Amino acid sequence: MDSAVINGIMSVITNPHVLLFIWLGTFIGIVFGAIPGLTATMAIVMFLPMTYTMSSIEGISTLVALYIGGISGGLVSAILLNIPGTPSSIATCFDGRPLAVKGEAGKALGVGVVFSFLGTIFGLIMLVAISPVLASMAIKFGPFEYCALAVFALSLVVTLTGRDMVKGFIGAFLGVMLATAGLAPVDSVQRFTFDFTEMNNGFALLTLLIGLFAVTEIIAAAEEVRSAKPFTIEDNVKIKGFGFSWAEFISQKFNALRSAVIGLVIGILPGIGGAISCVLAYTMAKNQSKYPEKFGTGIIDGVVASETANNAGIGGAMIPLLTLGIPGDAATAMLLGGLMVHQVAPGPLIFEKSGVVVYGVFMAMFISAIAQLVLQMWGMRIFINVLKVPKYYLLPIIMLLCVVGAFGNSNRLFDVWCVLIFGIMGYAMIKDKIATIPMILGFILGPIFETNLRRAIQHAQVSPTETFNHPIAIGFVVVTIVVLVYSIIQHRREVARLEAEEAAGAAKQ
Amino acid sequence: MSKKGDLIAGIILALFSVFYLYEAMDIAVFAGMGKSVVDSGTVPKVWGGCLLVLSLWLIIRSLIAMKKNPEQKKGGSLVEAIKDKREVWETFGLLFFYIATMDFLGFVISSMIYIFGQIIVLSPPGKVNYKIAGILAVVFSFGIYFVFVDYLMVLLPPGLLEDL
Repeated sequence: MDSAVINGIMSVITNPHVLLFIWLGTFIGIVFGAIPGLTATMAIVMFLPMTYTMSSIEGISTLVALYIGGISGGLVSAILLNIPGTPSSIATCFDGRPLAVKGEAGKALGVGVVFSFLGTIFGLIMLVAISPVLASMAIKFGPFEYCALAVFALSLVVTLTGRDMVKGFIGAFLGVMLATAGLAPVDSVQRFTFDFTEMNNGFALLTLLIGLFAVTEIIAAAEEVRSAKPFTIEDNVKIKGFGFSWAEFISQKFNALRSAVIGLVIGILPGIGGAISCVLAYTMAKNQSKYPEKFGTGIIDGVVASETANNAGIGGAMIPLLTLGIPGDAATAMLLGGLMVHQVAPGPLIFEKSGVVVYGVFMAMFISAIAQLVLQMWGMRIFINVLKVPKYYLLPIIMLLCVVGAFGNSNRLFDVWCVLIFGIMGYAMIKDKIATIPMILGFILGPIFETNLRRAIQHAQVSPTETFNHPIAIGFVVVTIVVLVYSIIQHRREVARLEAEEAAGAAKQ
Repeated sequence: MSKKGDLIAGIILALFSVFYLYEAMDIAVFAGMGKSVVDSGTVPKVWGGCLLVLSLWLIIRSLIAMKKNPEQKKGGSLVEAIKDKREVWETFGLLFFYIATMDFLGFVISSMIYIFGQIIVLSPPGKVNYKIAGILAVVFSFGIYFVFVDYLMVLLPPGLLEDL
């Protein structure tokens, strides 16, 4: 076995600090996932500054543990409150809550936790299997391929994140424009710095994410102060064993496998995230089922589909992040920031340059998956009690830690001001229904596109026929065009359908 | 959001893209690289141009929609609208105050004021508990400061408590 693999695994299992941080990270992640409004992304944002002085393996292991815990924890409130703790658990409510109402909350939680674990392990196996292969393919990528890949990824994000493509593109262009501030790639010319020395390095990704997620969350809570609805927690939970029988487990094997594959594929595609994958897996499970009429009445099939899919997406989203430096969703965008802080450069050379850390992270993900299973199976009472802590006490403290994170990034108040400005911007975007994910991906992909475009143009100036010697790049461009054309056609059909429905409604009145 | 909201967003975005394009025109070109089709100003100009087109599209789209289906003018003044979102403005105000005073007052004092104020703002009517808010403000401001400064090497501004 490769020495990097052994060293990576040993760096985790022989270091009690790393093990402790993984268990703690998973626990805190589950808490964040369980409380509606707090997400895995917020957990990573909040705890990133605490990893600044840790070693790379300690820091990144903690962050991935927060990520896994955060995605898994959403099922707790989905089942017990009928409010998904994270967007990834939307579909868990559909059957999880009816099960709880029938007095089978223990079974619903047991099924959710076990299939979350299996989904995470499936995603992790795929991550370990696919990443090195993809990295070895991507190593052949030059400026032409990266330039085309950036355009492809961004167009995919825009077309998949919302119905309104104009607003999707507006978000993406705002992101790429923000990323142009600072020194230009290739020739380091100052752009949009307005004579502020702080602007020479441009805006930090971390400040953008804190502004868009933490500030907007606290503003959302402020909006609901006078309209908050009281909720009841189903806290009469008893779990015997895993909460379900062996026969029930076996009956779900095809459902789980199908959902895991859906979660993995959706996770790999940039910008879509767990919210779509769990709903898609649920819909597929319902359509393929022999008893579709029972879905929504409280059967374990729905919980299995949703929880397996959203957790399988974790490994999926890590594949493009590690091998290409392209995050799949907001949480992995935050992890990208974490990797940068710990001097791990994602990309095709990651296995050569940081092989030990990467294999260590794989091991950390495996331990974190076990931790989430153990903590949720036998510590559910703690998470149920956490749900009772009012958000108006938690959010200001979270904001405090986010401010520390922004300040500690470069030890300057400038970044904290940026957080506020991006928060205002995020709030305005949410109000006008402009999706923020394309903006984040635009911010990350913009510099990749520009740097590689300029390099590609330099190559092409030397050899004009060079452009045609890159079939992968041409392939990406062709697929981008197909995706855009298809999306525009779909969008027009959708608009026509809605207009027809509106007209029919008006005629009835 | 309403079509009027789209119109306002479109106008703001159009103005921003015009400003961005104006600034992009001023980007110096590094002559040492030799003549190139794409220089450091090219891509920003493309992005600015695209956003301008999209914001004009949004404006036109919302104008057409408003013409087709005029929204009923809602009653209520600007003062009422601000009052309706009082907690939102208070939160922005608290965040502004927090950041603006952090250097002078220091992390601990400004954080205390912020946490206390923010808990009061976010607490639902009838559930405001000044005692808990005060305890949380003091414990977390001091706790986070000492953990980060003494153990995690993040040099937070000490402000008035420099000699502590």
